Amino acid sequence: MEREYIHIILADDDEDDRMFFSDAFEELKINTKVQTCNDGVELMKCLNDEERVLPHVLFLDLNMPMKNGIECLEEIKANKRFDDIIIAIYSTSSSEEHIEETFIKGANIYIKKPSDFNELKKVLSYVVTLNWQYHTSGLNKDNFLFRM
Amino acid sequence: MSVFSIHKSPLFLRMVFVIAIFIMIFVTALTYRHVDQLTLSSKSVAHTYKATVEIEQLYTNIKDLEIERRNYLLVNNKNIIQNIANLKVEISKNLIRIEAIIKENPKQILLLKKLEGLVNEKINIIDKGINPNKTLTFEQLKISLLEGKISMDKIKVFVNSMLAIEKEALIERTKKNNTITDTTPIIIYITLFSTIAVVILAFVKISKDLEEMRQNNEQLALNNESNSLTEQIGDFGTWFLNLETNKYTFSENEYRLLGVKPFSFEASMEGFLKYIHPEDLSYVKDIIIKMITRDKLIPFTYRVIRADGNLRYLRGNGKIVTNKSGEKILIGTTTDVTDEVLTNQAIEQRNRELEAKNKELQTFNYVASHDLQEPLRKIQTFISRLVDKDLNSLSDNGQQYLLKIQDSSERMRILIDDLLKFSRANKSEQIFEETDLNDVLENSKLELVQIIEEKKASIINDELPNLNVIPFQMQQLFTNLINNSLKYSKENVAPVITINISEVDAFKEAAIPVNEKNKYYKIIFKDNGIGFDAQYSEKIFLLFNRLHNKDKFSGTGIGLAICKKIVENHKGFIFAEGQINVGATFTIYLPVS
Repeated sequence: MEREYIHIILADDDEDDRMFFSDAFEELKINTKVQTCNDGVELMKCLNDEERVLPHVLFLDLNMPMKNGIECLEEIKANKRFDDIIIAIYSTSSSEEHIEETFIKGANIYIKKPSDFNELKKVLSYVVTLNWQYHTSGLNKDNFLFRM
Repeated sequence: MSVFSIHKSPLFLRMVFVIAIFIMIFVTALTYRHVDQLTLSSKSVAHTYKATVEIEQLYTNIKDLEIERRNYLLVNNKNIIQNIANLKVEISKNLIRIEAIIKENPKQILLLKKLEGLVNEKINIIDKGINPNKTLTFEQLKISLLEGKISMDKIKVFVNSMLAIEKEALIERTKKNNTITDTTPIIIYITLFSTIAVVILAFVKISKDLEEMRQNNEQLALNNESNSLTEQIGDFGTWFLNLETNKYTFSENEYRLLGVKPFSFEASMEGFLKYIHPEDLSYVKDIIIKMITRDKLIPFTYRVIRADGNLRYLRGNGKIVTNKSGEKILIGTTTDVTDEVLTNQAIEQRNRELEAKNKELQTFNYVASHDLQEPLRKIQTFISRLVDKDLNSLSDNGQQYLLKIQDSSERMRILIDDLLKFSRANKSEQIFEETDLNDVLENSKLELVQIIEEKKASIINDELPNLNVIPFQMQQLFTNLINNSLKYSKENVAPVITINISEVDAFKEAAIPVNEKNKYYKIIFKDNGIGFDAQYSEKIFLLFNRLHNKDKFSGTGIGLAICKKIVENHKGFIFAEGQINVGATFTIYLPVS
């Protein structure tokens, strides 16, 4: 029965953002199992726990204490076990430097956190239901940043 | 004077003197030879005279002998016999002398031998005729006299022949002598004059060289003066060290750099090192050793404490050269770089300050981009949730207030976004790339697709070129300009934006303030919007400058300021023209290369 759910994990140190995130998926009528981590260290602990099911999609905040999003991204991309995880960068900032760096380091999409709850729902629904095989093959620096 | 003739002059003079000496030796030899010949010919003339005189003397003696014989035949006197004997002795002496004189002439010797035979024959006849005891008959006397006459005639013929030969020789010798004496002065004069000519030529050359040398010396003096002046103006001095003699030479200004009067101490390393800042002393000594051992320029900066106690920074430099005499000379320069050093120090200080300021600004940017955005985003998200879920449970006023809060927070978000964009347009380290401007325009259209569709706008553009630009800034420029036209479009009129491009010469465009030869792309964005009053065509680009009430048109007054910044980053120009209710035109000039 596990396979019917889309496993989603969010790493974000901001409590409110974790709440918005969980609330949005609650309101969306998609079969998802959402798990949240409070920082990068916790995220890596979760992923490295072989007892747990690997997520399909990982939403990764960049600015986190202890271990930031970029470091997590590097660690994940260095490990073959995590090859199938879709990584969505989920950040307040949309600076060129961050976009470029995460693109080069192998993230699949870059989402600027929306400031409207309905928009947030739309973005998350889009990302989770996207045909990633199709999207990844045509990925370039210009369509890497998600635009509504 | 050219370097060429300086080198050539001594060679020329040497040649002239060698030629003159050769001519003089030649003249001497010639003169000697001519004098020698003259002496020789004078001697032979004298010789001919002597021979002639001697021959004539002989003939006279023979004639006297004949006369004495006749006398004896007639008178038969003993005294006459004595005379005859004397004459015989004379004649034989004559013959010996003649032989000695003419011994080099074989023809004469032959004649003389024959003459001698005749003379001996005659003497024999005379000796036979002299017999005191015998008297001759008249007939015998007649025969004897006739014999004497015949032999006398024969002798005369030979004597005359000999005389003729001598005379001929004399004529010839005199002639030869004359030729020699005639040509000698001519040759002497010719050689003398040519010697004089050569010497005059040499003299002219020497005077010319001397004149040139004098002019060179004057020029040298002038150059020295000008060097000295240049050194004073340029705040530098020069010094030389002859490595063979270990002797130093300092220029006037070298002393002034140390704050002392020129030549106030004897040029020496010790004298100079005395003024060097103690902390730099070992460094300078080390460098000087390197300068002497290495054949290359090593600039170095050090401090000196001048005679008046002032601290100055000097820059030294030196190189070894070898002069024409093969001596190695270290040529050094010393420049006062105090102002430069102090300016550099000030610039460095200012750069550090600027870097610190830049860091502060970057931190501010980060605060603006992240830390300010985050709480605002949350406020907005919470408001959106509140509006969605609980709007209806609020009073009418409460609903209105909540929507106003939503509007204001949205405006604040746009403001923060725009400010960030503006500060990013300020950055200078953006990378220029060869970019197809058509792609840039397509991306801008894509970015604005929603509002374009909403307003049913049409954008008509020329084919755009490839250009070396910062791609994302160029896209921001296009987006902002199109967005501007869309935003300030007339109500109920579909916006039409035309984008035209042409290549122009900078000096032909009145709008371009600099007068240069470069070519520019002139890109014109023209719309049919509400336009603006021409008097605002410059003000429109200022930061936070708005021409319209924000209730009517949303906007932060940053968009066009960003445009201007971007165009300036690309070394271009942007101008705006407007006419109320007709439209606005934005003209951009971007350098072709």
